[in-house]
Amino acid sequence: MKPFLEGHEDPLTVLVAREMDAVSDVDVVAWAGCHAAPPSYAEDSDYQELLRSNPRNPLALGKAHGHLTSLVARVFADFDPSSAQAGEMARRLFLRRIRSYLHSDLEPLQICRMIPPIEERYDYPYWLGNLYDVCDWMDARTTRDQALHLRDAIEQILSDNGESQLPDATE
Amino acid sequence: MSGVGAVRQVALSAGRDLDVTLAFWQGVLGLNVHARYDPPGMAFIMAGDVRLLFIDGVPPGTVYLDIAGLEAFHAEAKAAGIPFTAPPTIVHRDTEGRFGPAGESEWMAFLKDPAGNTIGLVERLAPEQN
Repeated sequence: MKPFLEGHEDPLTVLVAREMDAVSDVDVVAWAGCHAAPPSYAEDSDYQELLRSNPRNPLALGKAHGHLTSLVARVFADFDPSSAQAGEMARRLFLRRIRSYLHSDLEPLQICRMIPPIEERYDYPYWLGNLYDVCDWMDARTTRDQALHLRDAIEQILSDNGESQLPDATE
Repeated sequence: MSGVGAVRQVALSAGRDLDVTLAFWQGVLGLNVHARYDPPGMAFIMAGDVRLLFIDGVPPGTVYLDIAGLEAFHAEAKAAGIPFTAPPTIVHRDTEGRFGPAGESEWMAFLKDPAGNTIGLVERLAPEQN
């Protein structure tokens, strides 16, 4: 399975993905490692910190989100993570993430844990569909076999949003 | 009529090194060893009124512990390099009040101890705290 972040994404996209829990700190560090940064932030201290982070070092991982946030705040000072622009980025990321559930070994909680941050930041958007109910009582022990209804809900959300259920080129 | 009542004891794996497992519970979760019997190599930690028995020969288990201030605990532990298998997230919204005051939500985060036991940390939050 290819990683969700491939390296070509800009820091704004990565921050939106991280803040909605679509990706983890490990993913953020991995993104930095394969991202070709433009001159505008290639030498930025926080970007450099991300580049130097060891993904197997929990201490370094614990700081990754902070480095990414600082990078965006400094280099993209006009970006509002709660704006309509960010909301549309979140919607695209969300749909891509749930589609990847159909074609990967993602655990149910990796989908369900996106709901609280999305609800909070984007004011209960319609594109979450009925995941609010579907994810009831899904925790870290819930297996894919126990969550067949999650698969059904994802297929419905993709259909409602006019999205294909087929894997895209990154999956 | 059944006289069966509350949970008294839960058995968890001691792992390959009981000292390491107990150090995790003390250092990360702040739960001290209540009693230890060595030999045969077993220890108890009290989680409220429930005894957690750490002993060799049982498979890793799962236990859910109440915590106050889950989000702050997660942030602090993460900064200290403690890996979580799942960060805090809402697992259930108790709109009907089936497990406590109606309207509260149950937040959980998960981590594993060195023995492979899964620890779910649980906090119920009122709607205005979510």
